Amino acid sequence: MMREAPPVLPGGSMAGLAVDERMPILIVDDREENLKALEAVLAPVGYPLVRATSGKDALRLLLERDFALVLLDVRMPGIDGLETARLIKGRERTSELPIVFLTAAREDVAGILRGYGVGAIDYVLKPFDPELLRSKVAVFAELEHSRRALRRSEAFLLAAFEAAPIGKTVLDSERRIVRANPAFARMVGSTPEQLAGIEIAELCAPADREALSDLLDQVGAEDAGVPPADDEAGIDLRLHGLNGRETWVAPTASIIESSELAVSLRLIQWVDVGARRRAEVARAELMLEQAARAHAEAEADHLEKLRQLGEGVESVTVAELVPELTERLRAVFSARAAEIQLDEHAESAGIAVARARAGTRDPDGRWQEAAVTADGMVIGAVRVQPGDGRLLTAAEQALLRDAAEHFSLLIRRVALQHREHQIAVELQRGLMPARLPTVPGVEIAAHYQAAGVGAEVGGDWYDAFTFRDGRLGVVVGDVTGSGIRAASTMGQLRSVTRAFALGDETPPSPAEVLIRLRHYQQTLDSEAMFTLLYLVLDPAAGTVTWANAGHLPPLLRAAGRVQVLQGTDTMLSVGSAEYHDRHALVREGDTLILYTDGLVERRDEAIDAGIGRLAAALAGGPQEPDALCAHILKARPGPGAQPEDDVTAVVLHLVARDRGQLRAADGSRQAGGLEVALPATAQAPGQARRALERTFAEILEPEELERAQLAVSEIVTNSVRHGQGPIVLRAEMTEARLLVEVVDHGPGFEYLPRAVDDAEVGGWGLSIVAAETSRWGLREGALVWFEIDRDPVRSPAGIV
Amino acid sequence: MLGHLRSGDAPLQGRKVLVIDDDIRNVFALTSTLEQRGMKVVFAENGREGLERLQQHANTDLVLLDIMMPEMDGYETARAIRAMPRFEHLPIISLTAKAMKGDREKALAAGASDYITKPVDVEQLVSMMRVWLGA
Repeated sequence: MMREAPPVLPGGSMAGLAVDERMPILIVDDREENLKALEAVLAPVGYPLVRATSGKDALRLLLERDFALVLLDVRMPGIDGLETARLIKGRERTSELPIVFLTAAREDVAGILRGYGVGAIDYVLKPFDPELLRSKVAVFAELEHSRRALRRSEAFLLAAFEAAPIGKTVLDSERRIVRANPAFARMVGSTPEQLAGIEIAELCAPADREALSDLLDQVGAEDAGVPPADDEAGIDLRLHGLNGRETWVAPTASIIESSELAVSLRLIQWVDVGARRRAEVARAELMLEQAARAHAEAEADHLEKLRQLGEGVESVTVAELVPELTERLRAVFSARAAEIQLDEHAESAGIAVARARAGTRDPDGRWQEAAVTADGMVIGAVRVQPGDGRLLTAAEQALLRDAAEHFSLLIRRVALQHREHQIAVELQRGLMPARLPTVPGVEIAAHYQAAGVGAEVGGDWYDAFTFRDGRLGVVVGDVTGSGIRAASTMGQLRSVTRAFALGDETPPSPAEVLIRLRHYQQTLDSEAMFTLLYLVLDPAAGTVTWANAGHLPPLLRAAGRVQVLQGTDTMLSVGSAEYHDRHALVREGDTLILYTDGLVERRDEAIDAGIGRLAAALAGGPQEPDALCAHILKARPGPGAQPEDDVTAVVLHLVARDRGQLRAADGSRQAGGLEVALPATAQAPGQARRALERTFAEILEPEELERAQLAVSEIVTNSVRHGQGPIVLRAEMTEARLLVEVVDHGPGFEYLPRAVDDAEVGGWGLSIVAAETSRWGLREGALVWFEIDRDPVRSPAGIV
Repeated sequence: MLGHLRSGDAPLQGRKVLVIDDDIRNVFALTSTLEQRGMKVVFAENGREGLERLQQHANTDLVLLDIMMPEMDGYETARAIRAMPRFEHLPIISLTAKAMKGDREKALAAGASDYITKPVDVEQLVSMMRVWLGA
């Protein structure tokens, strides 16, 4: 009778109750890129992923195999996510399968929660936070895991009952057989079906009925499920089979208690006395089975409650979050009162002090609490008052601790997000000048638009300020990368740039400012790198001087032609670098534009193409700076409302000044000519002479060229001696005359009388200038000009 | 553990049904219903696939066959099943549209054992299946 198949249960071990293989997660989305993103995000969770590209696909797969979880896109062509979910929930086999909806539309959420409010349903809004999605998936998948482990353990128990080689019967309170297993049926020569409802005593030899009754009484009085301590406590008795056969057995009895049963039943195992040793094994197995089931049930319950505590939290500030969590806490614990308190220690972690209570506190009752922490520091507590003077069970205490830990993370995340957003907004505001300065002779317009996605400051900034002498300083900068730290450092850099530019009695040149900035940056504890363009426009002198630390080159529009102002040094970073001033001449009607990469950059093309596009837009754009600004923004690549990067543009337009112009009044200006920057050194006069020769030797008569060279040499010499900083030489031809201008940055000729006196001129060696030129003059600031009239007979017809 | 013991629908318990329907929603819904009664379900989404499935699952006890399918329709499929001697007596219940009265006769003529109109009344279907599987 006992020589049958080995027991179904793996002997004396709980290993069989663990779920060995991980069931896959089904991801459903009609878009390939979304599936790829999900796969990338979920890879670390460690479940195999199976993809479906439609509701139809998903249903087909669900018919063919089991899954731990479904991630379901709501909006799909054909069978959409909601209908798919309805079908899944309608099938018994998958009715408890957790579903996490993915949707970009907030309005879908209400439908999801209404339609499937109960059971394992959640949603994640797209674009999703990878960490949030991972944590939801992990919780759900674990939940499903436990649920299956539980089911499996039930299946084991059933199998252990049905297939056990020892006789087993389950009795009701009347001691009738509710169910008998085949082994017991064979002992008494019957079938399990026939035995149902029979009083157990009837199967026992009359002489032994009292002993059996005592055994059952004893079990009823004992704590559930404890078998006799040793063999001595057991009894032997005879079973009286329906076929008249008698079998000596040793029964052991225990009580079955289950949350699913209204009344407790008694399980009796009937062991052939000769096989008592095996019976002991069977008893041990029974205990293990019960322990395994209790464990699985408790675990599933714990996870389910944790899920309820953390799922679908929508608060965006700590002040909103704390009451929301408190209410959940009270509900999950079915507590009389619950409380969450963040004390003053929270403030040092950057989290607002907050306190919320749900339910009504029992003044005499005890709170049971667990700590809320941030960075290992206790910043508050979650408290529960179970009510009726009850204390929390060990399982509830564990849940409270886990809940506190979970809340700590939630609170920190919400606080962090909120704070980051605020700081970003503050920084953004602080980095831009409140209003633009006004300078005679210059119209100025500026545009800044923050990157559209998220709260990240892109790192763009600009600044504009005036010098006492009427010059205008403009700075445009960009932080490589983004984020609060980098932008905050950039904010400091802005103040410092302004201080360096304006601070000295004699303002330093742009290159000098950049050099100081680099020194300053080395004292900062930051590895961020910056590009920065600092440009000084002198509308009176018609010059612009700039230094460029790795920034995009400014553009100059003169007479409808657009020129890229080349000359870029390396960006400001921890390494060493040199910076140089560059110069250009500008006139009334010219336009300069300074900008950042957001204006020109497109992912799929070289930056030069973007600059080309901007140059084209500038060439065809209007004169008025604000209108021009609008015009070039329209020409921006991918002109969506929400740029991916910050977009910054500063437009400077030179207009007629109030004071009279000293420029030679010859309107017939022609293309061609010379512009060159010269160092303020002894080499400058020679360079100026050579530059004139190179440019005009083919055109001018040798005698005319010589006169011009003599004059320019004198003027440049004067600039080197008295001026400050770089000298710019500009010359151009008309049919009638040669015009030459020399600009320097010194105090120059400011104090000269308007009418030039020969005696004064002599003192400067300018007598030569007067002698060699047809006419000459000064413009306020630092510009000397002269003209040499050409012999009309010998004048060539055209100039290239 | 005993709470989960199911009395079962004796004639249906453990029997295998092949559902042939081109609409996966119907397949899913029918599968849900049949599984609830302890049946095993195999499915196919068109007639040709249905025949293949039948070859793979020769122990199929009953076929639920949708009539309106693209390419190889239900009539053609029923005829093809009947053409195989070992499925000569396999119960085939055809699913026909309510409005199409001639469909029933055509279905029976093509070899279906019985028919039921769509949308399917679950109780009616179950009792019909009990009859065909009862023996």
